[in-house]
Amino acid sequence: MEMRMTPSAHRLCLWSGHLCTAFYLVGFIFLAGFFPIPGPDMQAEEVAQWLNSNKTLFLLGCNLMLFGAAFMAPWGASLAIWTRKTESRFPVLYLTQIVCLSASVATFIMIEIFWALAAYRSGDFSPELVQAFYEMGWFTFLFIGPAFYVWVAAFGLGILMNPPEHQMYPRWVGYYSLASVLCWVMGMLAMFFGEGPSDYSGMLPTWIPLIEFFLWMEILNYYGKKAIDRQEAICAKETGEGMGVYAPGWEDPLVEHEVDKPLPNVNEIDNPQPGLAGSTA
Amino acid sequence: MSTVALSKGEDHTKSLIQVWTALVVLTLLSWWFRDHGLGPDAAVAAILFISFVKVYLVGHSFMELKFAPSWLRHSFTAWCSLSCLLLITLAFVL
Amino acid sequence: MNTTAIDTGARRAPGEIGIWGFVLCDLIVFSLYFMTFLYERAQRPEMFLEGSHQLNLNMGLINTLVLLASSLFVALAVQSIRSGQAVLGRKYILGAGLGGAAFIVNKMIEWGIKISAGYDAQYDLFFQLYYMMTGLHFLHVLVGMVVLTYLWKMTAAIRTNVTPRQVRFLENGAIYWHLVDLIWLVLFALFYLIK
Repeated sequence: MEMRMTPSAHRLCLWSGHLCTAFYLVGFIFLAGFFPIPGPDMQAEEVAQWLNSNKTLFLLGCNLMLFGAAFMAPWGASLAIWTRKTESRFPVLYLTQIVCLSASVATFIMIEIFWALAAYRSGDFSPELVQAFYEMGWFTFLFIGPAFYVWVAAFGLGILMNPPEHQMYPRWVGYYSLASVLCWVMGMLAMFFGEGPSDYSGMLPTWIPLIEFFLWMEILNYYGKKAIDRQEAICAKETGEGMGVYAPGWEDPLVEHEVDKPLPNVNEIDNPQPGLAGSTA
Repeated sequence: MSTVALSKGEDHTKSLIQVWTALVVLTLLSWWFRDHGLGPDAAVAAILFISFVKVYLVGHSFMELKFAPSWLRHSFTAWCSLSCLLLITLAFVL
Repeated sequence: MNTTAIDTGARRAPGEIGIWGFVLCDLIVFSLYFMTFLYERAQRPEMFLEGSHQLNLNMGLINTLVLLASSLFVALAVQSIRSGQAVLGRKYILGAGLGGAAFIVNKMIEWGIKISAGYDAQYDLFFQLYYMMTGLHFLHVLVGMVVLTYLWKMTAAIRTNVTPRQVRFLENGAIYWHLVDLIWLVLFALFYLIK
């Protein structure tokens, strides 16, 4: 078991999941105005016109979505750490998650860059070029899928396959994550269709997986919070040198550390002598 | 080594085969309703309804929901009824 | 030897509670698919009527009966292995696997015939949804075949007594296979039977 836990940092990471959901959905639906989504059956002129007419809001939406996408990184880290714990010395599924999560976040950010460029040049580039960038955004949006699938499948398998001693998520979350992957997979077929509910603006590849993804994120967030609470309770019970919960408070003494001075003893920081509070060690 | 000794005498084989027979009969019945007996609208409603009765039977018997805690059984029943109702409504209202 | 008695008559979640997280998520996603289908059908009834006439009803019916039989075999396998008849149970698992394989072959032949007749996924919206929805179901069948293979491998070592972990895996796998069957029952009604 790990020695000490800093639950506030972990909670902060988990909280970024809420920010990701809120920023992305608000940016996507309300600011960028993807409701309904202008689909592949629209003429290039219409797309350019649509982008040009609400350029400012669209760009604002892209900005918000960019931040939302970046917030997925700390959130994914706060999930992955739990399967890292059960895998202990051979964390292959944890590494798979981290590699795929990095790729997902990187591509998640690319999407909005393409959309932003399309809107940015919607007034002066030729409509076909604008549409090309706009659709490049959609292709990135849908076809980064496999990196996401492998990430979430590795997380789900990490919950299901590992020894249950240090398991912090309920097993059904693992199964639910695997079912979510099966729900998102159909997005990959959108490249075959230019109209209807299966093209990139349709229900099957975009709306159902998008809503399901953020629902999954929020449900995992709830159980992630419970996991941290449980771990905190476990750590608080552990006593001994360098163990327990490290929760920084305003009463903690300031520790000035310079490289030529010896490192302070952790116990002195955690358990300041009564009456010494506020003074430097 | 820890093993499970199941309480004997609870042989569900007969009830499983009965349910399966019912499923086959219902399948053939809905296949028959496609072209006979009912008007086109009533046929759509009957076919959808029969298919969800079949879904319920599979869940209740094959998936052993009849032994499950009630919240789980009720969730599944609720999904069946709600989906059936919504689909039949969608087929007619739109 | 530590023997735990499990009363199958008691109220308990079949398999484990966890697998129902999978089942309920999948059911809700598929019901959204079903609704999308009926919504699109209401927009263009003639296209969907024409489309359902192009499908081969007999092949659909055979596939339904094959999956139903396969589901029964899995249910019987669970029944026999739990009551200590592993050899019989494995025969049922094999039967279920053959049913799954027959479904896969039949579906591929059916798709092949339709595509070579020009009714591919780009033909119209009916066929677009047909390939998308039966395709997602097909993916579920493929996953189910992997699960059945694992069940087959796992049960090879069982003689009379099964461990709780084995029962859990067996029941989870069975529930997944029934889910695959159950979804097909609705798909069959939507695509083949409704006019």
